[in-house]
Order: sequence, then structure tokens, then C-alpha cells
Amino acid sequence: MVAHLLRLKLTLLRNGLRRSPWEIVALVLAGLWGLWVVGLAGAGLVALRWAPHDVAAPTVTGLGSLLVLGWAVVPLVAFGVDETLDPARFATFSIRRRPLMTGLLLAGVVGVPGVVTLVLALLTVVTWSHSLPAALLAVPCALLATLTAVAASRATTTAAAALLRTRRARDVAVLVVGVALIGLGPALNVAGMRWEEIVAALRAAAEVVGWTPLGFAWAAPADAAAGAWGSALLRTALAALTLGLVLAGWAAALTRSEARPAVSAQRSGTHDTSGLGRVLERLPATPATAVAGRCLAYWRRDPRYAMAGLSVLVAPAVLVALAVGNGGAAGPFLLWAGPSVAFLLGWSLHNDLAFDHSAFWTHLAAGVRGRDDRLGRVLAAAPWQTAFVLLMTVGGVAVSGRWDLLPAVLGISAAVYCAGLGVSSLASALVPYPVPPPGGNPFSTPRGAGTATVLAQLATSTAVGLLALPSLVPGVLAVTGAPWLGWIALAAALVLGPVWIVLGVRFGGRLVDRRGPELLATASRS
Amino acid sequence: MGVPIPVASLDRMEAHVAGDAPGGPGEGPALSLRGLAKRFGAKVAVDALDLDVPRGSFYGIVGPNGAGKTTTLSMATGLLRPDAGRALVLGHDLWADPVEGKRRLGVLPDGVRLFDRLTGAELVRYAGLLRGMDRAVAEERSAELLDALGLADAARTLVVDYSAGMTKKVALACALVHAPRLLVLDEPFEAVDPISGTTIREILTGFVAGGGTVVLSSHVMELVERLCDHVAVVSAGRVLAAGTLDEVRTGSTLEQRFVDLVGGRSVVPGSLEWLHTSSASS
Repeated sequence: MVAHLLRLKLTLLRNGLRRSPWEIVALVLAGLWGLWVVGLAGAGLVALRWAPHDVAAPTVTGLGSLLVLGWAVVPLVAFGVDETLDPARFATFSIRRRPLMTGLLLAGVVGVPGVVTLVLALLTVVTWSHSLPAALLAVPCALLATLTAVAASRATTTAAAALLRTRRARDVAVLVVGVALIGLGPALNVAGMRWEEIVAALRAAAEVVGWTPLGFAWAAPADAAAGAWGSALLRTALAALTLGLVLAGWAAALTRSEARPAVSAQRSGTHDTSGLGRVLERLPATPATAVAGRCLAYWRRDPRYAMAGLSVLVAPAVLVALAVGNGGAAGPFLLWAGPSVAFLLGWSLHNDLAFDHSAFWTHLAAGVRGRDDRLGRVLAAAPWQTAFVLLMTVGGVAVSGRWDLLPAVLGISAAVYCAGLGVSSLASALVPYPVPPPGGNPFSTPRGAGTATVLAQLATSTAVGLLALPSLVPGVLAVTGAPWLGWIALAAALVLGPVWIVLGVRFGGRLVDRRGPELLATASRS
Repeated sequence: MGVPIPVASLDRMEAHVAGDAPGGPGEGPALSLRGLAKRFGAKVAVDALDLDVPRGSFYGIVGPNGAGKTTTLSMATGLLRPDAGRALVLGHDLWADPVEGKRRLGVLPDGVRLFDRLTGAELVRYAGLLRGMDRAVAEERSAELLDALGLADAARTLVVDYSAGMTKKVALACALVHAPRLLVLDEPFEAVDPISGTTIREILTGFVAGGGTVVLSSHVMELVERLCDHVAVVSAGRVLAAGTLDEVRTGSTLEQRFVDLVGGRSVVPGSLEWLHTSSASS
């Protein structure tokens, strides 16, 4: 049975590659990424062999525990877990639980992340190779650590899926996790720490983590290398126990999800129009204002949009973190809060059409003109986004106390925002790429869409930068020395900004008119 | 069924629609497909398909799974670009002049999403506004349609929380809100319980009685036989037989004719012996 499942996984992988050349590209890129990680981290692990024990032990334990934690937590938030072999699909075959889980567990190692983890774990054998018994102990510990990591990813995702059956619970959970992630922005400060500080922090952390389920398997060979065989054997036993418990947890979550197969979502109460929606109601009833009203409802009700809206807080958070890390010299960093938010918001619409998913057929069947479709999406976003950009821009200037630079920063913000809207209006009709469907995990990337996602995002953000150059150049010069140039930046933004929006809506609209069915096909894919 | 269906309100909607302009396309078929073709890679999904749907008819399209029904209806409604051929909606070429055709056409596709983060009332109203309707009219018709379809209680619930049958019904309301002359419905009874099915049937019958034309696809023969006056049997992307119900079934049942035409096979006597418990050995 275990061999059957492994072979099934390989067959599915091969068929996926046969289906589309992009899957091959994606696998090659993932493989290169894996090689790069293995090369870099592997070299480090080998080098640690010659490092003092009080450097090697905390490094291996700390980073190894982080790796296990990553397996357990990251799939809940990003990328999702590779569901090539979805346990639910085996529900109708009478396979006994134990061989099924063993097979799924081993099949979970097959894949770039699994292989990378396994190779890195096994390289710790080299790290501890100055002591032969420690190196020997490192082999089973490496296997324990890898299997625990893979099993943990299955256990957490299965349990979360069982918990989050209802749409409302799922939406809330996604938001909570997202906000927590955004809160991690200031943690980027680590990048500014010196190496000794990092090791000191790791040492303190590893001392604790080594005695948690995350770290048992990593710390055991380290103990053995130091000659502390008592705690080494104890930790090995605890590591084995951990794997057993994680597997039991996974089995329990599986049983639970089998017992309650996909119940229908609960009623989520009634919904009313927002304040901004009521303002839209006062505008003449046109297809464009209808689209705007619908988009506005989505900005509030769809976690994918809510996340895009919230992620703009990342930029100011990072800037504040940098400012604080810089010892209170907040000024120069906070000046850029407005422009960075303007960029993220304007650009956030660049794949708006794909967010409709196959529901875009409604526009197509109704014969909505492309121009109205484009205009409606801009109308839904522009009022509140403009207010937010203004707030961040003026706020940033106020905190930094450089009122002489207000025209420059305002010019850059306006130029970047308008260029973003213009490029977005064109790009979402030109190069839509698949996104998670409504109700899907907003952090995941549909299978096989990774390459297209990266390319489209790079191209659109470059285009925004280019279109904003007439304001960016004098604006940056103003900040670096000649404040009067700021007025040129502002003037250029006020003249060119509306031009970019009009051009984007017009040409994007023509594309929608011409390529409607093809856009529907792309948007429906994922 | 205990569900009062104010069909009259739907008839009243008909009055709002602009008839074909004088001098415009006259009394031709409601839907006319000419040489429609589509291939996906190496697989031919629809193979130079011709079909005429007379005005005022209740037309059923039946065919086995994978026959190209959905592909055909998508091309006939402007959602999928054909490789070749034309689709005429009340005389207007849908691909050359989409505006005129789409104005008279109501569509219910299968297997696509709706803007399901809107409430039922918002969604139907949205479908009306997208077609340039007045806000008050869209509002009024949305309420009437939801009432007629038995969705009044769920009007302020998000469509994502609807059951499969409710979703089909709200999608039907979206297809009807602009009072089309031709309705094209892909599998309107799929995953619909008998109560909702009855409601949908009464609405559609009323629509045809009021002078509209309905084209629907299904693979439930009894349903098509009971509901439709015309039928086309489609297989492998071609029309095998088309005409009035009696012309197609030629004295037999539709199901028998369908199996004859499509070439189904029956189980050879004596095979699958082991399925009978009496002969079970292990």
C-alpha cells in the first residue's frame, strides 16, 4: 500500500508535467530554488563542523526548530499544502488508516520542500561528524525531524480545515492571521542586527526551543556531540514520542473531517449598503456605477480584497520599524510612507478582473462595455484610496517636519497612484493571471500560476515606475536638495496623472471589448 | 406545491421589452446556429453544428456527457469564441454585433460562479443595472422575481450561503431581469430539488406562454419529454436529430430514441455474474 501511494504520487507529478510546459518551468524554478537553499544552508551546516560547539548547537537547534515550525504554520497562511494526494479521496477505498497515513506521509516528502528538508536534516550528520556516535545518532534524528515536519503540516492543515468549515469562521481566521503577519513587519529589524547579536538571540532561544517538540530531534545529536548522552537519549525518545503524537493528532483530525463531510455554510445574517455605497446610489444609474457598487461590496466582504487593502499598512509599518531601528531619525523614512502606500494601492487593481473569477461571465453576457467595466473598478477604489494616500502623505511630511517638501512628496504620491490606476486598468485586461477563487485562501497561488504571477507583477510595477518618472525625478531631486523642484513634480502629476487614468480606462476597455471571452477563460482558470 | 407563482408579473415584464424594430430581422428563428465549431487542442468539441430554434418554442438539447452541449451553448451566448460559424439571436449575429443580440438574450450558464458575495437582491439588481436599466425598475423587478422564485426570505442573504437549488433560481432571476426574448439555460435543473424544480418549470412555461423562447440542455430525458415541444439530440459535437418532440421520438420514447441514436450499449447477459450475492465466493 505504501509503495502504491508513493508510485501514485510520482505518476500524478509526471502527468502534471505532461499536461503543461509551464508546470515544467515551475518545477525547474522550484528545483533551482531548492538547490540554492540546499547549497547555501548546506555549506553552512558543513562549516559549522569546525565552529565551537556553543555556536553550532544553538544554530542547528534554533534554525531546525524554525524549519519544523514553518512546515506546521506556513501552509495555513501561504502556498497551502501540496494536496496532490488528498486523504479525502481515499475515503471510499477501504484502506486501513495506518498504511494510508504512512504512505501519505512518505509521499509528502516527495517534492521540492520535502527533499530540501530531508537533505538539510541529513547534513547535520556532517556537522556532528567530529564525534562518531553523535553522527550516528544524527541519522535517525534527521529522519524523525523531517517526518515530524511533514506530518505537522498535514496535521495543522487538516485540523484547520475541519475547524474552518463555515465561511464566516474562515474569513475571520484569514484576517486574523493576515493582520498578525502584517504585525511581523517590525520584526524585519532583525536584518539590521549584527551577527553576534543574532547568535546571542539564537543561543537564548535554542536553550528553550531545544526542549520543545520543535527542537528535540535537532538538539539530541548536539547533546551527544558534547558528550551529554543522558539528555541526548532523552531528547531522542521525546522526538520519537513527538512524531507519534503528531501522527495521532493527524489521524484524529482526519477522522473528524471524515465524520463531518463538507457541511453547508451557515447563514451569515443580512447585509446592507455601506456609506460609500449610498453615495454611489446618488450618481446616475449606469453600468459603470453598478460595477463600482459591486466592487465596493467586494472590498468589504471578500477577504482577498480586505487583505489587499490591509497589506498597504505593511509599508508604513516597515518604514516606522526602520525609523525606530535607526535611533529616532524618523524623518527621511516617513516621508516615503505616502508614496509607498500610493504605489501599493494604485497597483493593487492590476489583476482585478481575475478576482471576479468565472463570475465575469455576468459582464460578458450583459454586454457591458469594456470602458464601463474599467471605470467602475476605478470608481470603487479611488475615493477611499485617495483619502488614505493623502492622509499618509501629509502625515509622513508632518511627522518628519519637512513642510517644504510637501509639494514634492504629494507630487510623487499622486503620480504613482494615478499611474498605478492607469496601468492596472490596462493590465488587468491585458495580462490577467489566475488567483485563488473567492472564498479560497487569499495567500495561496493556484497550481502552475507561480511564474505568470511573478512576471505580471514585475512588468506592471515597472510600468508604474516608468509612467511616474516625470514626477519621480524632480520629486527625488527636491528631497535630496532643491525643494523648489517639488512644485514641478506636483504640476507634472496633476497634468499627467489624469491622462494615465483616462488612457488606461480607454485602452483597457477596448481590450475587454475585444478579448472578453478569452479574459473569461483566463479568469476562470485556477 | 403550495408555492404561488405570480406568472402574470412575468408576463407584465414582457411589456417592457422593446420588440424587434420594424424593418429589422423579421420572423426568422429565435436562435440560429450555423456551422459552429470549436476544438480544444486535438479534441473536437463542436463539429460544424447547425441548429434552428423556432420562435416561441420550448427547445430541449439532450446529449451524453461530453457531447459538446455546454460548449455549444457558451458559443451561442457570447461566452466562448467559436473557431468558426455564426450564432444569430433573433436575427442578430451575436459575434459580429454583440450589443443587439445580447440585449434580447438571457443566459444561465452551468459550472460558473456568480458574484456570490452580493445578496440575492443585490445580485439580481446588479444584473439589471449592468444592462443599463433604471435603478427603480431594477429594484422592483428584482423583488418580484425573488418573490416568484420563492427566494424573498433569502433576499438579504449572501448568495455564497445559498443552497445549490437557490443558486440556480437566483441565477435564473438574473437571466430574466431584463425581460429577454430568448432564454438559453445550461442544465437549469442540475442539483435542484423537486420543489425548486417545479418553481423553475412553472416560470419557464409561463415565459414561453408569454411569447418567449427557451432553449435548455439536460440529460434527464423524462424532463425534456414532459417540458419541451422541440428537441435536438447532440453527440460528439454534431446534431443527430432535431425537430418537434414527435418528429424526433418517432413513436418510441425519447430515451429509447436517444440510446438508438447515440449508440449506447446494454450489458451483455451473463457478464458481471459475481455481482449477484448468490454467486459471491469471497
